[in-house]
Amino acid sequence: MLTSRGCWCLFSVLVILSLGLLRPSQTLTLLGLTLLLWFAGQWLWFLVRLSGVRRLHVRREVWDDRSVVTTLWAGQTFEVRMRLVAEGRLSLPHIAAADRLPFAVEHIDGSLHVQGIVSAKEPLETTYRIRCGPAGLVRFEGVRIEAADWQGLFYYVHFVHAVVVLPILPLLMPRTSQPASLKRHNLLLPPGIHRFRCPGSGSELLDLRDYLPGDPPRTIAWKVSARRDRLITKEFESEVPVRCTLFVDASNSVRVPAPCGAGPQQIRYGKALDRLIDIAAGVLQANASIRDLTGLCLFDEYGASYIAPARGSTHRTECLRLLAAAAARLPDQPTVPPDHLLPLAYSFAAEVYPELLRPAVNSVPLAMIWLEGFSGYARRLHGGLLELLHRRKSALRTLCWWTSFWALVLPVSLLLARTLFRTRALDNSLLIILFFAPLAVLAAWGGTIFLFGVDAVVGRSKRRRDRWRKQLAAIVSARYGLAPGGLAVLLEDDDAFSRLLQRFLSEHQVPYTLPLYSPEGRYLFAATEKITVLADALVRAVGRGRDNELFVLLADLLELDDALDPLLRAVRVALGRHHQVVLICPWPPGLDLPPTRGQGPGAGDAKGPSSLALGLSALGPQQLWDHVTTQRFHRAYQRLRRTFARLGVAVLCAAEEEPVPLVLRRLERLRSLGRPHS
Amino acid sequence: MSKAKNRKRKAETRSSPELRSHPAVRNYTLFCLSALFLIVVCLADRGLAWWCLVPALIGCLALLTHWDYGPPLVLLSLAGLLGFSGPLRYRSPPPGGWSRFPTASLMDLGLCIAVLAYVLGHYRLLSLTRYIFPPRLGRPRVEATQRRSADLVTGRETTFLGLALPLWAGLAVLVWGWVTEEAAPRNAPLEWWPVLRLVWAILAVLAVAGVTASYLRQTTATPEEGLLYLQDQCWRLMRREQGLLNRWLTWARLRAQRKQRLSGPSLETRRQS
Repeated sequence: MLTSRGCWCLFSVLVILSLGLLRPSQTLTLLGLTLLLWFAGQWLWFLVRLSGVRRLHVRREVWDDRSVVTTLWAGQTFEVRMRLVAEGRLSLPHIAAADRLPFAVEHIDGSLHVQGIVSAKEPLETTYRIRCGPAGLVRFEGVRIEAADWQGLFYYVHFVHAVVVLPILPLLMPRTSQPASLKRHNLLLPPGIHRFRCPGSGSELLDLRDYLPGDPPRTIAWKVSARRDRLITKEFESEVPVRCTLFVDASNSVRVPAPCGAGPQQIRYGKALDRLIDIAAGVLQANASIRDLTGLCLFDEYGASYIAPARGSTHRTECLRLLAAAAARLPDQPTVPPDHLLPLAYSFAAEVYPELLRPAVNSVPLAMIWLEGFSGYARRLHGGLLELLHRRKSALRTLCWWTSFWALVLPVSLLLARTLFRTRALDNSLLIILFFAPLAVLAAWGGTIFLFGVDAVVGRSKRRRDRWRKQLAAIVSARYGLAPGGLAVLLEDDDAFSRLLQRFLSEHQVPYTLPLYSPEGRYLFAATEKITVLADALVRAVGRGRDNELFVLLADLLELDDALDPLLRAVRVALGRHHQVVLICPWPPGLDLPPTRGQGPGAGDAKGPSSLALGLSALGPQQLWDHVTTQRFHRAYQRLRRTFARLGVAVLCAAEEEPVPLVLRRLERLRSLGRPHS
Repeated sequence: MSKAKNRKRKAETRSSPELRSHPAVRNYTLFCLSALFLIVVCLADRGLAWWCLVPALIGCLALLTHWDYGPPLVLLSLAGLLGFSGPLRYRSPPPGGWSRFPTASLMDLGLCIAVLAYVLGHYRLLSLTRYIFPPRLGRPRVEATQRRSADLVTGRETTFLGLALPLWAGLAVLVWGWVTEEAAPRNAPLEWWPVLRLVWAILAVLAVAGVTASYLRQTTATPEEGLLYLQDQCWRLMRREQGLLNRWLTWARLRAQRKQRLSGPSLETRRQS
């Protein structure tokens, strides 16, 4: 609370007062007393007014060009109006308020900061403009308040929580290619109705056949019947809507950030899921514009949520909201070491929850930091020698006490035994113990003090990490209902702590990166369970399907060749029912695109293995890593393409501009299947 | 490289010429200069000759450069001048204790007011030109948002400042009078009795203020803070026992995981597959 300026001022005042009292000088004492009284008065007045700071509240509105909105659109610009209102009659100290900008938006203009004195009649206001990022959620946490007196001697930080969560829906792009609207048939059907080459009750003639008893007389083709001299009846086409179901992968593998490279696209597409959602939104809108029915199935490792094909603005909004909610999810991986997330989580908590990090409510005992350390069992197994020393300082201390205890007990016992049994047989042992016991005690204490010193010198970052961990463990334990025993659990169990930290960051929409590979080199996000989930969902959709439908699989199946059998079976079922299937594979942003059809996978390596090896040797470690990753992804993509090509399923890369037009072309093909002479 | 960076950073943190010419900044500067002049007059009256200029010179330099350490240096120089202007040996209070000191003169009162005016004015000036909110840790660069906007200074503020100066000085005289007026109890050291009373009074005020602040903080605490406080107290009492238990539980969990990994999928998993 006292700033460095305040500390120096207080120090000077105390020096003056002490000097005035010790070298009796009335002038100096009076001067010191005047300054001390003024300082104390300022402090008390600041303290009294602080209670008003904690009662501030925030009103925030997000406006588009016309009115207040509760739904945002990706890439669009909005205006945020924030107002800080005080209650009570007491005037507040000087305040600087800074609205915390959510991670999902970009600040364009206007000020996030405003300062002054807030009162009930005169609230502080600020207005600024933001541009939304990709689809997801935007979470306004609240306003950071800094209060100080006019001299800058006292300072207080508070955060007014005013959480507002708004969905950012994917932007509905205008269609680049409209479907052909040439009149090819006698009758132009209403929008959303297409011809289907099965006998039905449509208007277009499908075929002629012999009249059967029960056929309606109005369908008899009289002229043909007269020519053939028997009754012939007309068969008409079915008129059905075309349905398209989108299966969008929302598993961990598409929620992780780009594995390599940092191209300009990475700013726009932070993760592969963003592109999938853009494609899904594009198809939704294109289908809605011609009144086709679109369904949506979001699946991950754990299950799938399904919306049956339908049309209408309500259905479309529901689908877009589901997509936005899926985009807002961040990856979770329980086996990630928590130290990876600690700095980010702590800095976020320090900004948004300063009141929960105060030593009065969330203390870190000095004895624990300097003398004991957190044991962290799971971490200790992988730690080095210094880490082990830092975490097991209490064991060293225990060792010292036990050595001292036995160094005292053993000689005394031997002396007693010698006296009681009046024997000299123990004399040699007694001499040895009397010689070595103090040495052992000295060595134990000396060694321990030395090791403590080593840890004190080299363990600064470890102590800071321990402090962060304790304070964050306390916050997440209280937040997720684990208190009071949860704190101790989280200090020992790394996996549980890591899981809760990820939940904490994910809830607040704080983007974080996770290591992609385990220390053993295993890819942490390859979830084969999602294949079974997808296959089940596809079979279920085929079961519900009525006529020819299009199933678009927007799924990351790279490097899952061994587990594809259930999905391949489900695709065969779909194709057997005359449905169409398209697979669109998300591509990590920033990674080079796979070679096109004419270009083989090894087209770039035409110079020969020796020149390739020379080229690779010239690369730095990061470039080499990027190259290897790219090659691995390219090979996996080619394998996937070959596997599905055997079934006649087109496989596309989501990074290309092609997917949306391709899906639309497939839909066109489905429509044209009904044409009599196609 | 780092020196150049530091120089650049310092240049950025300095106030701009526009800010220096702002009426509020100019007024506070003049106010501080007047206070320094009054200090010189009061010190000259005490017969300090040319030495009386030392605090004023330090103050002027600090005013020109908007130096943070100006007020402490002026105060310490004053302490040095007034405390060590006589012979460098311990001087006991006059016979009869502190009450035998003559009553505070007008010049003493003037000095108190002038010093307080300078300290107050200089700090307020620094809030306008340097920062009112201290720079954050790890971010030594002072941003414009950390300054108090000079446009927010009102005439009312200056009026209150003028009224507060004699008030605090008068209060100090009253307190000092209260401290020295009462006779010391029997066996108490006569010369130290007022000092003891003053120290005890300061401690009592501090204790009362601390309790009041703590009470105010608790009345405005949120449920989350309350829960966190209770959890923290519970953990502090039992952290060793809880740590021991949880260490074993974690060990058992990891061991079970390891065994499962070595023995392959469980029967249930196999049945499902």
